[in-house]
Amino acid sequence: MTHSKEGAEFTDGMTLKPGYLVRWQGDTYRIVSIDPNDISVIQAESIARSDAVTLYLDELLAPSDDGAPTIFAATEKALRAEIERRQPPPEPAPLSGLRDNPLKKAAQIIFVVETVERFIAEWLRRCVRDGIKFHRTEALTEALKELNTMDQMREWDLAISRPGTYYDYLKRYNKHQGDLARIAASFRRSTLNQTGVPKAVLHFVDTIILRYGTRAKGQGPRLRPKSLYRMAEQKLKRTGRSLGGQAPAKGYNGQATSVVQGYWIDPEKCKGDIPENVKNELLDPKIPVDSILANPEKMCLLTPITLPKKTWFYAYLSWFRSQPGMGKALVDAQYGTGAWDRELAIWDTFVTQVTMPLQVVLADHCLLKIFVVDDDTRSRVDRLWLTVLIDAYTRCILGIVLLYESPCIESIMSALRHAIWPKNQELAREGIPQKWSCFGIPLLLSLDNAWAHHSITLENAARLIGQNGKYSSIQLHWRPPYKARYGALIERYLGNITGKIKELLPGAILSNDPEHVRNAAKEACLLYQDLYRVILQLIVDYQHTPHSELDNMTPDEKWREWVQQHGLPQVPPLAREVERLFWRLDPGTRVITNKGISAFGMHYWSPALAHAQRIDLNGKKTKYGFGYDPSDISRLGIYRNGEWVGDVESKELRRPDGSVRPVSLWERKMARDMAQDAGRVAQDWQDFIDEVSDLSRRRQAEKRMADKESKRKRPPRKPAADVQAIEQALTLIPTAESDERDTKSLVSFLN
Amino acid sequence: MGLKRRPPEGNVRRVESKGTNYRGEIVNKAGRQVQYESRGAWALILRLDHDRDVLDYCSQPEQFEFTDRKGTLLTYVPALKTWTRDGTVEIITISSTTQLAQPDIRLREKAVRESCQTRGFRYIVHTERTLPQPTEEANLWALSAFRPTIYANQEVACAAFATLNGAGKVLLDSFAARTAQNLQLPKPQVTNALLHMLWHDQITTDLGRLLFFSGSLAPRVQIWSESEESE
Repeated sequence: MTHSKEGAEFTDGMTLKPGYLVRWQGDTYRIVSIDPNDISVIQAESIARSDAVTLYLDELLAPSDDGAPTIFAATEKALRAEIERRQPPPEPAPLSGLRDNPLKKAAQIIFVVETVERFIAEWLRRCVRDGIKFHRTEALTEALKELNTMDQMREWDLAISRPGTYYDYLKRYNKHQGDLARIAASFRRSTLNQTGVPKAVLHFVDTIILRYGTRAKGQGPRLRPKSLYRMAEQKLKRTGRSLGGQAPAKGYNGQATSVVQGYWIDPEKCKGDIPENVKNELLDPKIPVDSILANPEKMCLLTPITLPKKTWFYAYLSWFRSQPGMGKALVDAQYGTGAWDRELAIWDTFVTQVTMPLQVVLADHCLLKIFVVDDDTRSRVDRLWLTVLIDAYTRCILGIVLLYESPCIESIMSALRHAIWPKNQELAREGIPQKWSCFGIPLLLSLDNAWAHHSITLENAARLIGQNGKYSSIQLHWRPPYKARYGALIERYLGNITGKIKELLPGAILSNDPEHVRNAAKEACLLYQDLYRVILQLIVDYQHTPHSELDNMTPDEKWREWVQQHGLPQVPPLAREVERLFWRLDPGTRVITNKGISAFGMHYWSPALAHAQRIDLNGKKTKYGFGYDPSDISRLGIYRNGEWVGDVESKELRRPDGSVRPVSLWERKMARDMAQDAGRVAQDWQDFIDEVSDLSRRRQAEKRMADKESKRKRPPRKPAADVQAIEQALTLIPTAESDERDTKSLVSFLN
Repeated sequence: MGLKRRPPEGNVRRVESKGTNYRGEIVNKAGRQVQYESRGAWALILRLDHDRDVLDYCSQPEQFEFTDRKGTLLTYVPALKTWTRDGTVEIITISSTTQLAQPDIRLREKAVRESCQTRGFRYIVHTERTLPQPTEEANLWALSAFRPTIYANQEVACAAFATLNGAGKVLLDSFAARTAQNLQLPKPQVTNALLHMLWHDQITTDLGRLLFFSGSLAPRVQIWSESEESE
């Protein structure tokens, strides 16, 4: 660097002088003066804000984090040229295929908007400099007057008199980010280039463009128009052998031409979504076309089509590519929301990338289409919610829970608890001889957007199960809302199991027809535990059934293959402190009083509370959080700042022998209802808790009596044919082969 | 009024759904709940978690204010904040290069950068060019399964340091088999311990080559000691 009288010069031609411009960290400055004693101190003013700043040469010359070097220039023009040289603007959409008129109109819009915005910015600067209040409407009016006098506007014979017209221009400019081609394309009617083209042809062309011709930069190569057209020819020829493949025919313009003919799906013949499997099969060279055409179910969806001419194809492709978001909005509008995602298969990126068990586990809930009867009266029917966790790599069912409650914190926490530890004891208890060997802590738990899945309880459990890094913690991942396809794996399995339940068990609801629902309620005879056992059996059978997507290995075999290489998953022992992680954390806080801690209308106490802090350093009462197991609220876990302090037990539920009587949250609710029915206040529920137990005992005795009576009389129809019904249902559960067939047909139906 | 969950500790806001973005939260190496709102942020979190020089990091750390071209005061929350071994505090933003070219985003970047400079923080902008590429991301994700300390094995670590130091690059699979035989340990235990060391950067591998393929360790995965790499 050499020093000059006015400023500093650099060896690469850059110069610093008063009046010169500096572009640094996204802002432009004009140099006002340079300290003659210290050349590194530069007084400058910001062009955008017109405020004075002091710049330091060492800062200007230091490499910036974003990698953009400082630019020095003598004039604004030179600065702009240098910026454009270093930061070339993003590649504009292609202009080919666009007519002159819309291009001219687009150019006018860009000129008007950019000129007016420049004028308004200049007006603003003047206002700031002179201390005048800035009014945009006034500035805009002046800007439009100025604009209309410009030569370019006269040349176009254009005048913008109303601000409204300008705002229309601005809206269109912003929507298409000032891109000439996109603005020009926006003037086209939506049906341009589509007149006379049958829907089937359009669908075929769209499919080819989406599959082979639409990829963003960096997402792999995309075919050039000529190759894309050849690809379309080959694909269509393949399906059109019976039509003669390539035959002379009349084109859409009526001229005789050599055209390619073939079969393709007619969207008008498809009820609902266009079947993806048929589309994939038609494009798959490995699948013989004859087998597709011979299938009447598929053939009825197909129609003979003729490939459009090259010129039409090129123009359409050009227009398609000029659409924002590579035609996503267009495709979704034409073939339904999600068609774009489905076509480019971006929904299952996680699932296709998993390389080991427990890497991705998907969870979901499903209301089973079957009625069960209550244990006591066997007359009240109810439906159950099944929560399932499935491992994406092995397709193993990792854990389940069957609850009366609609999806809530308990559903996911109980299913997670079931998934993490081995389940063999449970199977032995239910008398199921096969093994359900998979278990472990999920690395990533994919959840839908249920409120419960965002709960603090789940977050805490996901963190604390790791025990400060000794074991895996759980990463919670929420699928995009209202897009069930992101959970396709679990949705498919739930569809499978509900289908089997519907097919096999008495009390199943065959359809939403009120008649079917009434019949199902009449036939209902299974108890909760019966249905649970059937579901366990179905899951264990699934675990040992070959899966087409696992190269015909069973999920269990896939699991064991990994276990052989890496051993069993490491999980913490199921101690009391670990069990406590799955308790529900109450959002409220409590203070310790002389009677202990109050919750659920009871007082909880333990000797540990005697030493717990009651008043903090600020003289305020110390607040404690608490957690509980909804199936037993006789005991609470007490927390302070997230740290466990101790467990406390209910004084009111303590028995004479010192033990505590377990009471569930639901028993408490029932007792409260009974108290209110009896004209007492709900807080008196404890007086009625014995009555709940008495009622249960009484109903069980009645049931035993009814069973004896029914056996003695042997009536033609049994009121509770539970045991036999289950045995019968279990014998009907299909074998491995038929199960695979069912799965395949269900999967193809879902596809 | 819509219900809102409070964000995890140390976060100024909860991550939101923006259509089909990746969204979730992860427990980092310091036991902190960290949120991510994009695939890029998730991949970067994996890299930060693997990086030994990064001691801790948190998501959605603080709100910055800036003024756009129209003069409207807006707020912005960067994706991450990191604390590194050398005492540097970094504020990290994740964006695409096309987004960074927008004038308002430049104003935002400038405001955040200035604020960081005054507070002595480093401001880093990650784009698709600097974020982990798909292979590195897949490798880090698979290796993260071996982060738990239960997989650590002192004997295997000693054997690895003793053998790999100066031995150049060795095949992971054959080294695991040999070590298992020498130490009389099951091979899965040794393999897991080596993968645990790889995650914690105690030994090195080429993360630009896929480590796991179709449920198995890729056959030609090489490992070497860190000192080997520095030489």
